[in-house]
Amino acid sequence: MRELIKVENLKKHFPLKKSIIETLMRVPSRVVKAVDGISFAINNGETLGLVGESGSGKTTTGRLVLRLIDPTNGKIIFDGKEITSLKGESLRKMRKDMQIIFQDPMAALNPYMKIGEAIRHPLKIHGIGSNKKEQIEIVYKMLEKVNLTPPKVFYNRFPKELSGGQRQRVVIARALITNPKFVVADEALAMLDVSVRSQLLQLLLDLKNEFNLTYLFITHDLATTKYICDRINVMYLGKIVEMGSFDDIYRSPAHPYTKALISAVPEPDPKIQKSKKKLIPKGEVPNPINPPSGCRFHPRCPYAIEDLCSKEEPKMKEISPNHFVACHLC
Amino acid sequence: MKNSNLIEIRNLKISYITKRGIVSAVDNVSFSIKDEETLGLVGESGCGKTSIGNSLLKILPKNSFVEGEILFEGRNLIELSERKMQKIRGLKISMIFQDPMTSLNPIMKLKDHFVETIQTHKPEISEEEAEKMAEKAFEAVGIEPSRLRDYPFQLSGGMRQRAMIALALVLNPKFVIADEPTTSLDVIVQAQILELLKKLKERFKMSIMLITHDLGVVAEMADRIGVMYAGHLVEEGTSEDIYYNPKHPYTEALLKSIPNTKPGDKKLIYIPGNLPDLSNPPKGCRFFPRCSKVMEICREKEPPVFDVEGSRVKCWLYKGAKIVEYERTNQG
Amino acid sequence: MDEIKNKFISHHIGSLFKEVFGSGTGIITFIGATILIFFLILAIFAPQIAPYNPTVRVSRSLRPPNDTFIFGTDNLGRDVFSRVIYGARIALTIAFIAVLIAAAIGIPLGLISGYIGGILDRIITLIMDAIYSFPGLILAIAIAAVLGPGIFNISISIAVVYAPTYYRVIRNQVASIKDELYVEAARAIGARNVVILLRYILPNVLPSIVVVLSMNLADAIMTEAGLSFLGLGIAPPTPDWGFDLSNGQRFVLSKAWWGLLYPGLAIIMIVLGFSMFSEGINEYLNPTIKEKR
Repeated sequence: MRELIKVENLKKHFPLKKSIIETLMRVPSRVVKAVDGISFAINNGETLGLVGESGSGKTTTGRLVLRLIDPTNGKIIFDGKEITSLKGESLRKMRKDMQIIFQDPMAALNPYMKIGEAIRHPLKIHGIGSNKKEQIEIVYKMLEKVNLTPPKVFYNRFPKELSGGQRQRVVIARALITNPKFVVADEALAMLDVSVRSQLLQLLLDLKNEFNLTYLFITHDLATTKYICDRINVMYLGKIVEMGSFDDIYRSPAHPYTKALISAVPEPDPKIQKSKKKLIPKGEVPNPINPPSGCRFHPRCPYAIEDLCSKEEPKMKEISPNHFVACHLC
Repeated sequence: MKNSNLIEIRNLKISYITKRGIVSAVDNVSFSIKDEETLGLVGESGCGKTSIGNSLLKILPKNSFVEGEILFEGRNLIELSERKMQKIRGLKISMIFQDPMTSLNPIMKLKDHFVETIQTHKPEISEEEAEKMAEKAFEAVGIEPSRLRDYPFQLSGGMRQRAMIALALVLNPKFVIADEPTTSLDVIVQAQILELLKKLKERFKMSIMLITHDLGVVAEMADRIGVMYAGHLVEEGTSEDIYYNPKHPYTEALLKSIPNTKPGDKKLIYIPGNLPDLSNPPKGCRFFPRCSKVMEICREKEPPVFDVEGSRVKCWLYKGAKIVEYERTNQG
Repeated sequence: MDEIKNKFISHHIGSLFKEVFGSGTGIITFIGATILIFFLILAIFAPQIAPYNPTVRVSRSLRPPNDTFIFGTDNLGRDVFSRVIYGARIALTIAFIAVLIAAAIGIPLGLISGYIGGILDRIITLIMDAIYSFPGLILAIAIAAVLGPGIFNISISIAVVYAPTYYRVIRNQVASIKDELYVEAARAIGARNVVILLRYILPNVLPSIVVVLSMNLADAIMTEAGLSFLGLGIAPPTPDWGFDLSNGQRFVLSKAWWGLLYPGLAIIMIVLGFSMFSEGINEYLNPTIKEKR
């Protein structure tokens, strides 16, 4: 199968609770349009980066693809099978093949479970390994792969005894123990210290090569995508605005939002940073309950064309090989 | 007056008494900040930079213990009484915190925050005058003055941070401590806030101590940078010297380990090992277990601060250079 | 380092020292625990400790405290001291059984209700709130009157009164924990709901129960004494503090104060013991819970 993940016109609208008065007066339900119609595909063995700020919908997208939440509309296809409305036992069994690495390593681990047991649990659930002893051996091997050695010592530790970087390794180990085909890394490095990030990024790369994994790498830190992503999608307010390689996105960004994002990322080099031309749009990301009409970015866009950008939603166009943009001006 | 020292920190030691023992969070740190200068204090979690910021305003937790000198306007702040310190906070030295949601009172309208702050320091100012000052402050940071009637939760994250900046600056302090002011914000909002801080710095002629772990943020704003590791100030110099000519092995390693956007450079470098346990710090240099250039003496004796080509470096590699001494003054 | 410690202490003596090293709280827990252990020993080793058989007449009625009968005798000539010692058995037995039954009802219901939510949650919460809002002693009286005397029946009457407490605490904790990231992680690895409840949620809500348990035990003893005082509790001649209180109170006019004082003191002491112990445990556990975040 060339395409491991395929997503078509995916939408997720979270309903807002109505007050009693609003229900009685039959006011139509308001929704948060977290993801509002996105389409993309990830090939086997590929790493797709999903970049955006808060409110962009990138985290929701990750949860949708894994079916941790139900889509409002659209299709999700995994390994050739449609999983959009999968539930119950078949959904549970599929978890063996698709996993997630969370952002907050402390919150993602059960404080009362030894980390060895936490990593062994997926093996138990999916019946991998013929008995407990065998499963523990598998866990030991995984602990060594993620550099938590000696494994016998770490097996019996609790999360609060570990550092942030070590906890994240446990989360990674737990996600990969069943040898999944597809892994979502949801801001997996964001809560780690700067000097630890590189270490874990290298670990993710090594594991990807060893296990031939396919990643969806969600992040707001563009620089990390350079090392691990084959392609990058930029999201804004529930929509994908640009798709391309790191060089496309970073060196020749086409969408005004992408341009703003790139120029806003601070560079540690003081000469470059101080002389950089900064294209900072006014205002902040609008509320996803009432997104702007037409192109979502038009109220903040310095190049917006009156009547076109506010009325019509731009379609995704290919402007150079494998570089796509959803903008009327391109 | 440019080029004279606004605040001088000498041999600062901050320890915390905890159940685990006595944690030496900041050890023997000395530096100064001039008028209208921005110093960036960078380091990873646990390096002590936030403790230093808090010690300047004397808002450390009760289980802390501070030694050394913090010289401001001819007085040692460490020995100042709480009453005298209250006259300084907000008026002469102000702080911008990381998370505006928890540092603003959720049940107080923003206008009341301003009135309270202003009248605490200048009781002679009436409520109307204080509100006018608040309106001017909001204009300076780019918020509609009518929003003074709102509560903190009614503002977006970026606007709350602007409101906090306005509150910190309303009485025109000479010195502002910004503790991770943009860490919880999105990239574009962060850029907006940094632009704002730069403008305000020019306009109000303040000195700023910018505490952050993000070297990109200090590259934008700081004239000088101090690099902290495990409670020690390991290197201090101009932001260009620090970036283009790092002298301490930690500074060098840190710069190399940050994921960068240079095309084609796909090599990931990291610093092996772990942070030391500060309730039982190593005897000599605190970085020696992870240093690629470690020597025998590093394990035994804590290095003094050397003056190397204009930077100050706490590293035995520069043995032979002039040692920087900070004398204890008998003021305060 | 010693130098710093000395300087520090001389700067912030007294309250800060206690706060950091926790001796203030520690003392309360220690006293509470001591009282409880004391009564436990009384209950377990009653036959060895008590000088006389508490159900049998051993002397003249209503003799004031003296050398042979330390607490005097009651109206039937029984030794008050031995009755107080044996009374600990009933008090502790019924309290523990009642609290156990209450927890056995409240905890599972709270787990299911908090996790599933929806209409089931609303209905069960409504029922539990109704029971909870009823004055405890009166409800216990009503149930005890229907069930009749006997250790098990009384335990059930008291258990019904306290089950809603366990239900509420667990249900609210579960409702807030079920959105935690590690619960989502459990779902993400494919764990079944029952497994999530038992292995991921239950261990994280149980610490809050420990405090409730201890305070409950204090309450249960008071309720049991109340029932017996009103004649709805343990049937005589079994030694029971509540019954002895009621009995002793009848003869106070004849200046026989000892029949009232000693059982009363016993009740007060054991309730204090449980309360102090649970206060201390609460202080100890809650910082730990907060530290995890």
